[in-house]
Amino acid sequence: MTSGNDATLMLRFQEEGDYSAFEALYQRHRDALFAFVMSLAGHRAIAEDVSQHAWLRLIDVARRGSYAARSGVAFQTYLFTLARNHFVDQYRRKFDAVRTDSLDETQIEERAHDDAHEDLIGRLDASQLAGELREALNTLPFEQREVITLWACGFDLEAMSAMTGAPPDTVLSRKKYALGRLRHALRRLIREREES
Amino acid sequence: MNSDHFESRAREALRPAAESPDPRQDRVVLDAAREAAAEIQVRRRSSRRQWWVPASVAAALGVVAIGLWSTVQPPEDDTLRGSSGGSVVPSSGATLSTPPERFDWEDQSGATGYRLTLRTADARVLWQSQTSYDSHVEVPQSVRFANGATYLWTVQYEGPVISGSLGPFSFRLAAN
Repeated sequence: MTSGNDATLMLRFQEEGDYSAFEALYQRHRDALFAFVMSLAGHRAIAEDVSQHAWLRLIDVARRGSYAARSGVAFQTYLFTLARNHFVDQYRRKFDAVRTDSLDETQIEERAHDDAHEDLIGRLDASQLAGELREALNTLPFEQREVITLWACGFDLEAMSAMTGAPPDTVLSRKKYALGRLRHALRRLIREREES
Repeated sequence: MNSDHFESRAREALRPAAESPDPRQDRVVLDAAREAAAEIQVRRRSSRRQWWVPASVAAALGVVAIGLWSTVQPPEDDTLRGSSGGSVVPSSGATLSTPPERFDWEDQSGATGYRLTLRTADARVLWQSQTSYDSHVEVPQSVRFANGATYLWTVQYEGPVISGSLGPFSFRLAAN
């Protein structure tokens, strides 16, 4: 397997036409990119389209010689931004049309102090928690869902800000309210299950 | 459960599980990469050969070319000249006999999307494109141009860490 850091591999592909460098990049990031898009889109067919489009776009960038390793952004952030932008442009409206939940900030603050179901959340095992959280995530507005997805993928504040085009304070605020909504939605799901 | 504990459990739980796309994607992407790699190699070999051209001949040709270019360029109105952007089509200051069907500009390093705005000479927005991933856009047939009128266009570009604009560039449609 070809080795080297991401930017070096990308430049070898772009400058020298080194196919093995691209192949190494593809193997390294293929599944992570797809998993990220799956989380964002929640739909496999959409994720397939967005992921493939991002890779083809990256190849086109190299063909034109316009990838700049010193632009100050990590390769992975660049690649994920290509995918994120395509998703926003092509599918975000459809996604927005089906999201339903709405909860104002006051409600979140009030309910954050409601401890009635906190213990239950604490007792959920990892797979139960993941399932419930993913369901709750689908009800968030796109901007919050996006930040939570990037955060869960391990991106730091600077990268999240660069990818979403939102100032760091805005990203932090979206994350805060998204976590509040997740907490609330989780409690509601647990309560509904208990009652049924 | 305190807030920090909830955050760390949520982050862990929501971390996307490794998942592979359909194997057909591998074929499509890797075939495209192979093709691009071959194209880049050919271009590279071709540019290497150009180094064999003696530098003095190249320099002389360059001087002649610049001289010729400067004599055939029409005078440009400074207020309408593009601020940057290298080569664009239609070229800034051009007079066209038919309305443009497409606008082209140079790729900007680090940009992941472009949006073109077309204005009339009095700066009224005539048309704005969707985000384009390529350094060109097609003009829809619904955009109406008037003979004899002057138009301005700009391109906003954006990437993970850069943003900026090109232009304004101008062109004029021949009166008839």
